[in-house]
Amino acid sequence: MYGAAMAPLREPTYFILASLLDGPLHGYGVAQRAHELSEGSVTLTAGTLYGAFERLVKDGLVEGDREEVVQGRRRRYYRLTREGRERLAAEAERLHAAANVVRARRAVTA
Amino acid sequence: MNGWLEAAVLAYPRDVREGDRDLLLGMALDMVEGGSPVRCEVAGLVAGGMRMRVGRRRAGRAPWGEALRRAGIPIATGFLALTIACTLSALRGPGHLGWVGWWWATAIGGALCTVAGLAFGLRRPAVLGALVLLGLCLLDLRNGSRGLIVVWDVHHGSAGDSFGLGLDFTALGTCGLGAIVLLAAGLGVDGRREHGVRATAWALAAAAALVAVAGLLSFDLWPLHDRADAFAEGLNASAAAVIVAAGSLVALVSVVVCRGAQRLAAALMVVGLSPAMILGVQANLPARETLVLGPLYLLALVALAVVSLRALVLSTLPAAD
Repeated sequence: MYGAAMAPLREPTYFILASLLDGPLHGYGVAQRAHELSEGSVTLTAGTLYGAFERLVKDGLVEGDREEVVQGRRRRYYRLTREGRERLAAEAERLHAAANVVRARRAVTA
Repeated sequence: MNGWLEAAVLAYPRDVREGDRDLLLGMALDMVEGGSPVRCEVAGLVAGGMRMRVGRRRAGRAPWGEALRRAGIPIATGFLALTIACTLSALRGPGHLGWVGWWWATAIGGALCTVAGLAFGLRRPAVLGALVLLGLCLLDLRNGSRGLIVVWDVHHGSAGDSFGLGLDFTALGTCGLGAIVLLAAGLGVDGRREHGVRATAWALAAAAALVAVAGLLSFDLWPLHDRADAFAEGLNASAAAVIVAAGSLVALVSVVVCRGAQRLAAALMVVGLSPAMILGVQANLPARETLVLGPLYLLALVALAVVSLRALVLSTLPAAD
């Protein structure tokens, strides 16, 4: 049904990409924003996040923006690429369509 | 806190640690300060590092064929040496030469057949010989008394207050895994090879040298006052144990030193022979003082066997594109 490039995004990946919609964020910022956006259902550790970023950069969905050192800690900022935005929008559409199937059915059976 | 996180970052491949160690640690410290438990961050880093290591590799693309081709003849040579030593042992000394019986004749024949098959690149003899050896290993393991019995014997404490543990294994029976590797090598033979005569000659010479060295070593381990008995009993199981241990240690060193297919071949040899290494090490060594070395040797072998398994699972597999 889906090609490899258009396979459904996993929930953490979806919220990582969604957290970057408003602009570049560093790792901890992404983890906080994803936690908020998912209403607490997505909790990311540094190890999970680093691996996810590496994969997303490789797939061309996000890219490194800049690096800063804050209080002696190195932080790398990431931003969505155009492809990443399109992929996220497509996934949102897919979820929306999938949700509509249930909504429409519920409206008929209610 | 930092110590645990720093240790956890070691799970990542070297290139990641060199480039992004500070980044990973900084991110993990931010998370911990934000309320994430340290144990979760440690576990996340370890899991992420291991996932990255495994994700970069493809087991199916490992040079298994090349490794089996390299490992086959040395393992077959080891079997040949082992069966010759066991046969000499069955002769019960130089003054009691005679027919050794079908059992050991078949074992030597199987080993020779495998050596020649692998050396000349002939699949049928190689597979047939390996099947014969595997069958004898399984029968030896099942029957116990048929083959040469080695005793794993540990004593602790003084005469008045001591305990002992004695387990019996058969010399050939412990080499079942090695025979399976040999069978895989035989099945992987893909055509005639040049220099078959030379390879066979080297294998025969190596087997003879192993038997001679093992015989001398086992004789040397015999206490001075018992040496007459040693002559009377001929080569005993110690020789077989020395052969297995020596061959395995060489393979273990190769695992550490070599890379690629050579390392995979060495690891295959170690994994194939590890039960024999571990169980056969205390094989009827008559000099009691040698038992002191037993536990240390055993620990070293187990540790090195783990290194070899790791080499099999991870290090020898080529990185994915």
